[in-house]
Amino acid sequence: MLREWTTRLWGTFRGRRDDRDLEQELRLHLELAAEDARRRGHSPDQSTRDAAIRAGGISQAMEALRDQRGLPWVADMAQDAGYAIRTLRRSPSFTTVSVLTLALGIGATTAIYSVVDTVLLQPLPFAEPDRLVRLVENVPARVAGRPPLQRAVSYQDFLEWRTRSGTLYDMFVVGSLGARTVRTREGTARLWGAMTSADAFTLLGARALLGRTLLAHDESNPNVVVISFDTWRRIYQSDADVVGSTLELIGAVPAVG
Amino acid sequence: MPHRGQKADVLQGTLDLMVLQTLAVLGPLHGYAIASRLEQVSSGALQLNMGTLYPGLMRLEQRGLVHGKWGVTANNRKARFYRLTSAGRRELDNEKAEWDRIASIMHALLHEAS
Repeated sequence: MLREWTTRLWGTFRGRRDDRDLEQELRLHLELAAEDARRRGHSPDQSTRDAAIRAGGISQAMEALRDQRGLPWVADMAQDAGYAIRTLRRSPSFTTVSVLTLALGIGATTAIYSVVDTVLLQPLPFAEPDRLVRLVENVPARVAGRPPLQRAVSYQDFLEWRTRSGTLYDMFVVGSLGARTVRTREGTARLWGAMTSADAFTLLGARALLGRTLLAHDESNPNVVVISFDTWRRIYQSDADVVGSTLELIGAVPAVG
Repeated sequence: MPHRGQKADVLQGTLDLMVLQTLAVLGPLHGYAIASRLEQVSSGALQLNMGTLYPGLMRLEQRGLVHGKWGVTANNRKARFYRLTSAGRRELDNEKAEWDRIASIMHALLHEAS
């Protein structure tokens, strides 16, 4: 049983008798059958016809042989696929609706997955991302039963945490500035920004392509700005002269403290 | 339809046995020779069509019970000859014994003295 199925599995793919070979064998069978009939005294035409009838059609036999040659489900699957295509061709409106529905479903699923992949599954583009943790402060909600609130950490608390922590190698703090308007050569642009402690870039393993990232002494001078590669490309047209130039923010900037 | 399926299996089983026996008795034969021999021995009751015989031979070959090879007939015609393998011979002996056993049981059952 296993041997038969192994040979048939093999036969589906290679090393099997091809159609021509099989047909040759069948044709000889018909010839010999016709000859025998003639020998028995029938007319040549009658013999050929009789023999053909008695032996059964070549095409039928070929079908049965093909079934036996490969695994039945492969042959059936191919047959069903052909039948499906023919049927679908006959009712174009149904086919269109089906295809659109499938396309919509597949497209939506793919979109969702790619978001999940990027946000949840891909590792963060930082050095040793598995060692990166985010610390937040949860404040119990004032109304009982509500989930706790997350509150921004004050700078003093951050310094305390950094000094006191025995498990973490180091810490840096990030404070979002939200979107700010920036004056550019052409006019203005909206950019997202954040304030960080000086060693943020070092701890993340991010290095500057041009110029430098923040250093320790920048903490006494809060007006140092690092721009992202994308911003450099889009807003400053990859101009190398932007290093050392002044970035003008419109609106108030909160003081560090 | 389980009933028809069973019948087909039985038919296939007996066909295998008949082919193996024919090859054991007469040596290597081509497909048509096997079919006409069986027709002759059964006095015309057994008329195998190509769609039954050749898939059956192919299956026997896949099971390793016969080995097929192209050769020439007495009239110098190109034909595929099948011969019994040693595995085929063993299978034939087993099947024969099994068939005899079942036949004698059925015979005893159907003709038992009341």
